[in-house]
Amino acid sequence: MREFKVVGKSVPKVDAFPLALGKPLFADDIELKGMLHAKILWSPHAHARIKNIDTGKTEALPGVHAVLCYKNVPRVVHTSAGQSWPEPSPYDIVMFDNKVRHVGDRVAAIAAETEEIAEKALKLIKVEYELLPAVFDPEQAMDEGAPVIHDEPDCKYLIPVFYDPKHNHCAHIDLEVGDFEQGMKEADFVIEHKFKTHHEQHCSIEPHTCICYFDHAGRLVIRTSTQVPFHVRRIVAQCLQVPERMIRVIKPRIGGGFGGKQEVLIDDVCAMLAMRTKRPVRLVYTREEEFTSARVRHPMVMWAKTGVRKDGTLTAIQLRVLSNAGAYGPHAMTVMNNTCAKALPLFHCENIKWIADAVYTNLIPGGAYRGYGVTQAAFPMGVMMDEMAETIGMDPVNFWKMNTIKKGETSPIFKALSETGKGVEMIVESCSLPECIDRGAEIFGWREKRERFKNQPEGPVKYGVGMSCMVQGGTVPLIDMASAFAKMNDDGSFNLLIGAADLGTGADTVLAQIFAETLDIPVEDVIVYPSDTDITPFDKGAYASGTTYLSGMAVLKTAEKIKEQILNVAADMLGEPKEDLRIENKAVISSKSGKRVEFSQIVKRALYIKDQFQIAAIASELSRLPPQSFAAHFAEVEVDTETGQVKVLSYVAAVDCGTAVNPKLAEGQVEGAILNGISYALTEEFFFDDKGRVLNPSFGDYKIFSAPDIPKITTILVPSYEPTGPYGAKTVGEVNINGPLPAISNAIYNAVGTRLYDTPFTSERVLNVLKEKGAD
Amino acid sequence: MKKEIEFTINGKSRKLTVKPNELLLNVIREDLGLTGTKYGCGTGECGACTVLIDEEPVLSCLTLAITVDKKKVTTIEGIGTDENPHPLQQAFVETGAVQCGFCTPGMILSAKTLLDKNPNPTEDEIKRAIEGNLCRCTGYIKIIEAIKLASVRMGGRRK
Amino acid sequence: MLNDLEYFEPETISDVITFLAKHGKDTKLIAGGTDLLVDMKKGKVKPKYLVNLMKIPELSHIIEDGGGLRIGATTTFREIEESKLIKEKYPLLFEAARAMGTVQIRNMATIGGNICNALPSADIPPALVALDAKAKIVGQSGERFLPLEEFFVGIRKTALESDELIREVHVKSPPAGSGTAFLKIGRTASDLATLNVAVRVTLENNGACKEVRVVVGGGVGPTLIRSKRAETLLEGKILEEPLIEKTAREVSKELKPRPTSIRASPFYKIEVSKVLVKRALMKALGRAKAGEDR
Ligand SMILES: Cc1cc2nc3c(=O)[nH]c(=O)nc-3n(C[C@H](O)[C@H](O)[C@H](O)COP(=O)(O)OP(=O)(O)OC[C@H]3O[C@@H](n4cnc5c(N)ncnc54)[C@H](O)[C@@H]3O)c2cc1C
Ligand code: FES
Ligand code: FES
Repeated sequence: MREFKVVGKSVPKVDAFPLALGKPLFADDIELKGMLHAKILWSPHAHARIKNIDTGKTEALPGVHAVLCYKNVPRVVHTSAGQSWPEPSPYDIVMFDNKVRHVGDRVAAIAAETEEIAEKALKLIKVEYELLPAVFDPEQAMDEGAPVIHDEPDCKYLIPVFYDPKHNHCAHIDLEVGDFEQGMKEADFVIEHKFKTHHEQHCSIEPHTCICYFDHAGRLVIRTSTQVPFHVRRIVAQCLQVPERMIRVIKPRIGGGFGGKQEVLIDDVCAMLAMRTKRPVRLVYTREEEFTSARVRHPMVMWAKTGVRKDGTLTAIQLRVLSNAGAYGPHAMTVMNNTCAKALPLFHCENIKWIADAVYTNLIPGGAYRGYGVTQAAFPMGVMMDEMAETIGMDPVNFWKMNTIKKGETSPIFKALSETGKGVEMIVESCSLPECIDRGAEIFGWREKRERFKNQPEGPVKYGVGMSCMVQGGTVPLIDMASAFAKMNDDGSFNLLIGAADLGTGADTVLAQIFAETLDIPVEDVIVYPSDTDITPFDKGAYASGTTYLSGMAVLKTAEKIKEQILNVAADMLGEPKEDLRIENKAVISSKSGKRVEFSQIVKRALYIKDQFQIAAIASELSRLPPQSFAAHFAEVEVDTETGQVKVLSYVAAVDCGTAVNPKLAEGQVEGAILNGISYALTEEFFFDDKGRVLNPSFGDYKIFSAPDIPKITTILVPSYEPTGPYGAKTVGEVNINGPLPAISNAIYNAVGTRLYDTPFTSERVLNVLKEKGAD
Repeated sequence: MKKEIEFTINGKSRKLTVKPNELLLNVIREDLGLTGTKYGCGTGECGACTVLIDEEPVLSCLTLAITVDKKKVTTIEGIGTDENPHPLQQAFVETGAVQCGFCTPGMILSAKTLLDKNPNPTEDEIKRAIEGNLCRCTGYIKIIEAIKLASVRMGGRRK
Repeated sequence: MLNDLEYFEPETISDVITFLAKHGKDTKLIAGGTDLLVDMKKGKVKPKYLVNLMKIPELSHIIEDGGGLRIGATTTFREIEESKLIKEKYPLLFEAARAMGTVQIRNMATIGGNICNALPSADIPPALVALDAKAKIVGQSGERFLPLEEFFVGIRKTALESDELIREVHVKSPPAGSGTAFLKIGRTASDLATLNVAVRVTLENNGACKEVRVVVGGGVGPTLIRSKRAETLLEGKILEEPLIEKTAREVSKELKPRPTSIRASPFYKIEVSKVLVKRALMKALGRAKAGEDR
């Protein structure tokens, strides 16, 4: 592996100190003079037409400054998905509609002097609903006669894809590479199961927060907790029907996103209220609203069928996917596509068939969530792999190694499909998955534990181990673009302006490291200014595991351009040809004469002395292919067969993210993703009643792990070198959330001999499955 | 019916007139301008609003401001400065325990009370001390590491 | 948002009683506020007057006296958890207090508030009932004692009149030969109980069971359930695993979990109650034999 000076070092996060000191860095940490407070009225019904809204009393309430509803805002169909234009999500939402499609859908909004007044005012709004029948089960949504959720004539996609809203059919794609039926014929064993995955909320501890105000020039400033500032600007401009130039979006520090903030969820309403009142307006979701009126991971029903030969060859894979989009379709097609595009290239298999549908139902809409469809598909595939290995009597470690893609190989899926549709051909140029499997197994003690758990202890508590491997491609090729701008200051320091959105992940730090590495300067000399649409150049935003890889390349290119300019000035100063000069420790040194000029001298000369100009550069990077990050996960569980309680005792993740630009931050990403994945697998769960209401919209009732719940987690970074990435880096944000579902399901099987095909593995579900088995 | 209360905030005595239905969280953020204390749920379930009252961690979202009359309130802004950060703040930065940083103030305050009372906590004691502070970013691993590191630096003996 | 209200901070119990006599119906007492303020935020209760009990010195104490313990109503769970006296002599209370909430919640929440809130899934009440605890209630017409199990009359309903408050909880010291155990199942470490069980086994010198309490909470009925069947089946017998298992099955028949709970189905609660009751009895028996609880 190549050695670097700054890259590969765990420098502290550039913003960690101010955060640890509690400085006012988040969207809600400012107080503006005359600021109004906004509240939204939510639908109590899963499906209804609004016959009338009477806001008379509300408007008459002293302290109320604006009331919005379908009657007084422009009807602009758009998507709330924060994706590049033209968005691959259906235009099926408007700011306020005369129809509600899920409990918690928007009905009206208010801006008032105080939150108290706003809340009082909400109660005064009179809404007349005409109730419509609702559909919640995705398997019934496409039936003839099912209630049509999007019967409005103006819903559509901007891109040419299948869309049949009259049958609640939000997206459909199928494909076949090779010949699935032939593959099945070649198989010695065929395995087939139905799987189900459940809803999940992001639970970023900071709720969605937006403050809108007007600057001295009368332009609208949107200070918002977003992963996608540039998409927010574009989509809000669209909804408000004003030109983009009238809007500035500032992304301050963000209190976690995980995909939940890749959505224009509140910004349009907050901005409209500011427009109407000409006052600053603040809109912050309550925790309850996060659960009822934000976005969730798409639940899916999946049917998997695979064929395997006795010698371990995987002859055919079929995955049928039915995704529950909920009431609107943001990310519905792209998440669905990833169950193939970003999940199946992992497997060495020539015959793959994939059929996928996304359907509307009257439940909370799905959206982007870390893992983005790969998490869902990794579950059936990880369990099927385990079952196939068992069927042919091979250790899963060997079976996984044998059947996963290697360096220098390609998958027909790459070309056939991407997240948005057509794929790109590519060869995997970096992959340390085999080493990940070996080292993970060794450190976990896979063989010893498999041996040991063949003999289970007496008593109700049983033990087991399970593994799974995973992949996640980063970026959406040929669509995602990132850029950076930098300029040099008098003392040889730099301002680095990046469009990329750090949402707590450490992106600002990682990008500063890449910049510092390229110019051989310390990280302290890089002053990062992130994501302000007035000031920083465009970046698609923080999603699809793209920041380190793509924004990183943009930063690297920017630094290289700057390097050229520095060398040119230095050459002139030293009177030596540029070719003889090199950059070292904030200075330029001649390899020939040994002469040296400091950066501070060079920049002063450029700014003040001769042929004055600003040393500065801008560069963009377009993603050409999705770099593949891999991981192998190992879980050890304890199952109480009398109570059904499953406890994860230890968990090992061996991860190939290319070069880890900042190992500590990379580990933090791995640990956070794993714990999120484990708590999703075991305890997180939405409950709906038969009217479609969320019954548990609080942290008290929707349980995410706290510190006493965590297992021992070991992270092993197994480097590889991705030639297309900055200093060999790939991505690390998402891939590790794909392991816990299959690894834990497999471990439970190892412990008690029962497989779980439905998630989550709550005590109750496990106990039921054990009882069913006992009854057989 | 407003009432004047007098209390200590981050070492300074302070008089304030509050309404009896005002929550301490809002008073701290809005009236005192100390925004390090966060809203994450408002129902006692996330710990983002943790402050110390008489050195004990409590939830400012479930505390009426009027009840802190004559008490000592400490927020994240009161335990360290740029020049002189608290060893926990230093350790959180160094170990990578701060990701988004939204849970960090509450987390650090819970940990501070732990270390003040028990300079050499076991891993289990650390986990229990922060059980009321949810973090969605870190998986808690590096937070626990940071608290251990601070405990060593603050003179707790650790094997 | 909380409704507008008037706030009082009396310093004596008699001030509270006087106030309640006048305004009882429009008043809410507030202790730790961890239940009340959540309810008020949701608009479930809108008191006109709020009377804070936390500044009344005579309400906060843990005193050993006679054959038992007196815990003042505003004693917090943290104080109970950290009391050496309780940890050594009333381990059951220590275990139940520790299982409750989070550090912050335990710093705020009081035993009186917990009892008066009468949530069927609360953690300390089963432990208190297993120790034959009584509530000392004071009001305009003087004071009265009520066994705790009679104090709970329904989901979030108590036998308290609108002019009354709880002053203390009295707990009998477990007789010699006692062993206790508290077990709780939640979805995560800090969750309200899906099920909790508090058990006390008191043995004769000859090893037979002299007295037993099996109390199940966690939403298995409108209130916690003190199992009479367990008492009938076990008292006077030599306790052995088969009998304990049989008892556990019988106890489960007394439970009536609500089908609407999101934590678990009635089926699950009943199945798991058999397991928890058995385990708690075995654990308490072991402790009784080892003389751990004195
Ligand atoms: C996040 C969270 C987690 C929780 N976890 C648990 C748990 O795991 N287990 C558990 O058992 N509980 C749990 N609770 C519930 C709660 O903390 C307890 O019920 C607590 O003990 C209530 O006490 P308090 O002092 O806060 O009561 P308050 O909220 O002040 O009062 C509760 C009620 O009791 C009345 N009251 C208070 N004191 C008296 C008195 N002396 N006489 C008459 N009436 C009185 C009040 O008027 C009010 O109606 C949790 C609560 C929260 C918010
Ligand atoms: S905001 Fe107070 S605990 Fe969540
Ligand atoms: S660091 Fe983001 S919630 Fe803890």
